[in-house]
Amino acid sequence: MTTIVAETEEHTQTTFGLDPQASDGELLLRIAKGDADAFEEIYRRFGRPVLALTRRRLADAGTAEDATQKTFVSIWRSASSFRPERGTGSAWLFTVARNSIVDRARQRTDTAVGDTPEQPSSDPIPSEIAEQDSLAWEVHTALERLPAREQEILSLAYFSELSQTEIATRLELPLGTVKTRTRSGLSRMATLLEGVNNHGSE
Amino acid sequence: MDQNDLRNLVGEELDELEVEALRPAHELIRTADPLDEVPSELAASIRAIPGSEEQPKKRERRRDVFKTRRAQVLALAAALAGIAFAIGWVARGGDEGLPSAADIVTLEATRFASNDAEMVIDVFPIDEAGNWVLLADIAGLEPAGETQHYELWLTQNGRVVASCGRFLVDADGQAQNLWFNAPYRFSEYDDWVVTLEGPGNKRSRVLLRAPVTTRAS
Repeated sequence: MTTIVAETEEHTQTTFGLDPQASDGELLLRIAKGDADAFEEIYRRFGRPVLALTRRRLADAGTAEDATQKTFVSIWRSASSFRPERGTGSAWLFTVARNSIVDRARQRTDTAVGDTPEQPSSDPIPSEIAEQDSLAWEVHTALERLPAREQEILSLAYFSELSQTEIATRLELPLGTVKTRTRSGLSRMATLLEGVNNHGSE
Repeated sequence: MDQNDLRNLVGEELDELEVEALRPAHELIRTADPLDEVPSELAASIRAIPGSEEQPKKRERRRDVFKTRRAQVLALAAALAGIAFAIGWVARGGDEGLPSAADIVTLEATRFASNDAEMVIDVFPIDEAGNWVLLADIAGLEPAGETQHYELWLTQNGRVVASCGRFLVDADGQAQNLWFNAPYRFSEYDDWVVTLEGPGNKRSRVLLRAPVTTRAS
């Protein structure tokens, strides 16, 4: 098994006096007590994954951003309902985000709610989409946990589809360093995604 | 570089076993969409939430009071609406940024749900858009499957006719502070019900139910 290269951890984002290793669940418990710094840290970790999830499910960019905003309002208002003994903070956040998406999708399609349901509202969530949602969520939240330098290189390699040489040029790094950080990042991802299979389940 | 080639990404130093150990993560990342930056305006509005959105602490306290009195409320079913209204009105007192609830509705479990399942809805006065604003807590429901969701309805003559909103519950079977709305004349409906909805219009039996007692038009 590949050994994670021991380089100094980089945290390019401010952690506002919080332990950067605090679990998502610990942060939610602090949010429940009104801790704005913990909320900021949760946003730092989950802002992009939540936006990616809402964009995936809600084609309209504005609606997706509304759902993202609503998700974080719900996190702030409802963190007291999180029960660490019943699941991870990430899983709770995923449920909150999905609720926001369902709600926004309903508002978008229910142009005349009062006229509805001789036929019950259907608009089911196809299982394959739900599975992809879960899978993408796991990948995105894992990526957010990588040190910034590894996250950047993996993003350039996988999402910008740059070659290792192009990445080295862009970041002004030796090619060997790019490959080392790629291996290190993938190794961390393998650990973080342990148990997640390509059907999106744990 | 061919991004399908993991070997190209990680270099030649690793042996085959080490490369294969990384392959699951490699394949998973390949299935994901790019992570975009959060637009600055959205980021700013989210970061402002703690300063602009009060956490509903008093609501939780009110909810506890309501729970402890639940047995009394059940015993005095005929007075349910009046007692619930009084508890909500007194406890909220209009000083937590929310208007006083016009009514509090408790949906009880039918025989198709766990005995301790319930949904408590604060019905707030009609908003500027003409909708009844509903704030609900749910407990005791099984988590919905990946392709399912719960739905709150109003019924008429035994049929669900008006959807108030959909929701999911967490692994604990709970969801709190869910906002719904109901742009309806309550007097036209018989019951509030919750069902579990699945693909292909598959619907469970009624899981939670309460009579519509809010006589508003």
